[in-house]
Amino acid sequence: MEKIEFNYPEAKRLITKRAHVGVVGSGDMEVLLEPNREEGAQVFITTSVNGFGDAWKAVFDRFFSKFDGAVRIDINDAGATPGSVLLRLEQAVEVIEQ
Amino acid sequence: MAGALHVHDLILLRTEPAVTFPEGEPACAYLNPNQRPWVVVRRERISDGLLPVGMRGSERNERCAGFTRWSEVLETRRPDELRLLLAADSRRTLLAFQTLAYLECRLAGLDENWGPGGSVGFELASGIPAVREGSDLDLILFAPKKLEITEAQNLWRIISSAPGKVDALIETPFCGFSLQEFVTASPRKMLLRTSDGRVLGSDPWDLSNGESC
Repeated sequence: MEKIEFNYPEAKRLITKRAHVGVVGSGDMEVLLEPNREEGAQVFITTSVNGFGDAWKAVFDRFFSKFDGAVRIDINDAGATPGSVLLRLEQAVEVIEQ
Repeated sequence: MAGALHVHDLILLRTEPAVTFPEGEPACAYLNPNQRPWVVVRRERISDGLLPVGMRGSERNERCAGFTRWSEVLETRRPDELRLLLAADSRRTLLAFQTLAYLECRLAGLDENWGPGGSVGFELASGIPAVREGSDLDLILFAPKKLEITEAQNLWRIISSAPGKVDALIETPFCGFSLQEFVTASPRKMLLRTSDGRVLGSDPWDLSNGESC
């Protein structure tokens, strides 16, 4: 079990909706995406697989290079692949941008 | 999956070196080198006659993806066969095995084939201890025909009343998906695991409508 946090202060666009997608099951993860009470965006990850901090950072750097919403993202991960992480994030964004 | 093998099936290989790894990927050691080499069929296309298999490494959560040849396969076990090999003795007190025993009674009338995957399936096939105190039960249910939502909800109600956490995956002829997500997300999109990768889609029994990405 490992906890990882990232901050993206440049993500300032106001977000009003929240999204809850995915499930905590083998190779998958649950994402809660909601308006952040703090300035910028924050990511809080709890993962069952240790030692992948750099991979998570690469995924979120890529995500926040396109997404500028001031959101708080909470992730409960059970070993999702980087491809699944991006799919789940895209799915959550689709929900809040509807 | 071609032939008689399907994703989640466990196979016993003739020898451990029968698994090859993609170039540049490190080879991984078995949980216990003195045990017989059981591996699991992975969800990937077969190319050049190579079977995609996964091995459990010596560390917790360590998994390695490799390939083997059909000619190396000595024995096979499907999840529904493994269900009938419920662990004996002291291992039965582990929550994941108790959960399987509970579901064995509750799901007796089910038309669909089902059985354990993950660490429970691996331990039942190989006899190598892999289940831990906190292990979930990975449950695989085969649904060649469309599962109606009310049927899925009933199934999920039974499964979520089990003593331990169950990670239930439904397998259609085209992909695998989470039962929990199916009953909570329907009719929204969900994560579909196909042999070409993962996509978001809403109909796991029909991937032909082009809306799955």
